[in-house]
Amino acid sequence: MKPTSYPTAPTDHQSRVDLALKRLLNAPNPYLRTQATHELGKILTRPQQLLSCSHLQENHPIYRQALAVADAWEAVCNGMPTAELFEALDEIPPHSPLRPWREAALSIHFFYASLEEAAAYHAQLIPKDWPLAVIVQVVKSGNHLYNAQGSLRQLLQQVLRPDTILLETLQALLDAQETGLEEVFLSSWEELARRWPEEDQEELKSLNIWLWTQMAWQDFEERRLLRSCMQIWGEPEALRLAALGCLGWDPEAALLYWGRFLLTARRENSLTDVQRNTATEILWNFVHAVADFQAEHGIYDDWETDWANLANVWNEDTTEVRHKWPTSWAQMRLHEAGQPFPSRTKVSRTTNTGQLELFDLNPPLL
Amino acid sequence: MTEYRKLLEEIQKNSSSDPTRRELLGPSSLPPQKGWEEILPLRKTYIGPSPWYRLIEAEERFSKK
Repeated sequence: MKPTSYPTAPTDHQSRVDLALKRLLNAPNPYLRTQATHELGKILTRPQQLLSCSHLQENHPIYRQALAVADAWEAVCNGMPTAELFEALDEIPPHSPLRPWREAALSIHFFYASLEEAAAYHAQLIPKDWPLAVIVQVVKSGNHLYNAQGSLRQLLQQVLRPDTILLETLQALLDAQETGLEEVFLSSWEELARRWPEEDQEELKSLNIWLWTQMAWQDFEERRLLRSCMQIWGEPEALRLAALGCLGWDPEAALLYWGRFLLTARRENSLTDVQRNTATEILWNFVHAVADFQAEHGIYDDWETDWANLANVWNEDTTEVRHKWPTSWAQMRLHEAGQPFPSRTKVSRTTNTGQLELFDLNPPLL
Repeated sequence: MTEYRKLLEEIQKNSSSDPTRRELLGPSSLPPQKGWEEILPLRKTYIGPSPWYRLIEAEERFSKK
């Protein structure tokens, strides 16, 4: 079927396509045919332009290929491709001027299906100096508008739309965080995480770290947020993110979280050797950070016990003597620094008791 | 700068030069003034072939210049 609903190209452009096609059809040898194919490709902006050429018969292979490509393009851009359309695309031979259009149609199909590798594979088969090669930039953009300009940005803005349900849920989460509605906060967070696409987890983790930084301002139960995060990402990852978010306002809690991250990651064998060594180095950074903080703000009453609990569990887990942690906080700091503590004051600094209840998530540490 | 400030800044900016450390201390928490809606994942929407063709036409016009 010859499509009629497509907008027609400007006449002068159509004349150029006519001429280029005529050269291709009349090319006397393979070399000139290849050259003419390339010249046609550099000006062809719609396969329908070939269908409009008066000197191309309907039974000519190029006509049938242009028809197959036009139908396939419409289908993949509307989300309604069929096996028959893909089979028709497969009949387009490698030397055809429509072959790159086949690759572009398949690339768009895989782009919509979020199969990035397949989309990129087909896109890179398009000659780089054809206007059609702009598809590569679309495919590369994935789900982002970063750096896109001009017509590319306009197209991406039409294709990539904000998910309105996610937007509303995010707003509910932020409102609940601000107004102190803990139940709404938690349910919004869980709904958001459930709807968040698998391939964009880094952004969700950024949001989660920010939420942990904001827990300072509300008397929410941290363990409920932590439990929810554990269900999403597993225990070690949830603890790691909590540690990063808490450091600013509760460094002791951050150290405990990081310690438990190391512990659970080791139990689950979820880190490579390099990651485990680096994570252990970072533990010492947390130790020093807590020491700095305590030198300025004092130590809260139960800190020694909290630290001893974590160190005991760690030491029960490890068989290597050189990896044992001192159960005394004072010794822990000396252990790494190799120097006496700065003077410290013992104060009755209050801490968020919810944080200390974290360990209720698991059997008692002692 | 104290170790506390140093570590806090490293986490906030995710600025470590060591890739493993950067991975373990990341991702960075975006500052709220940026607007959280900017990090929301975008959903792909089928829009029909015309905008795709217009993009290629624009590219052809650009390459002629």
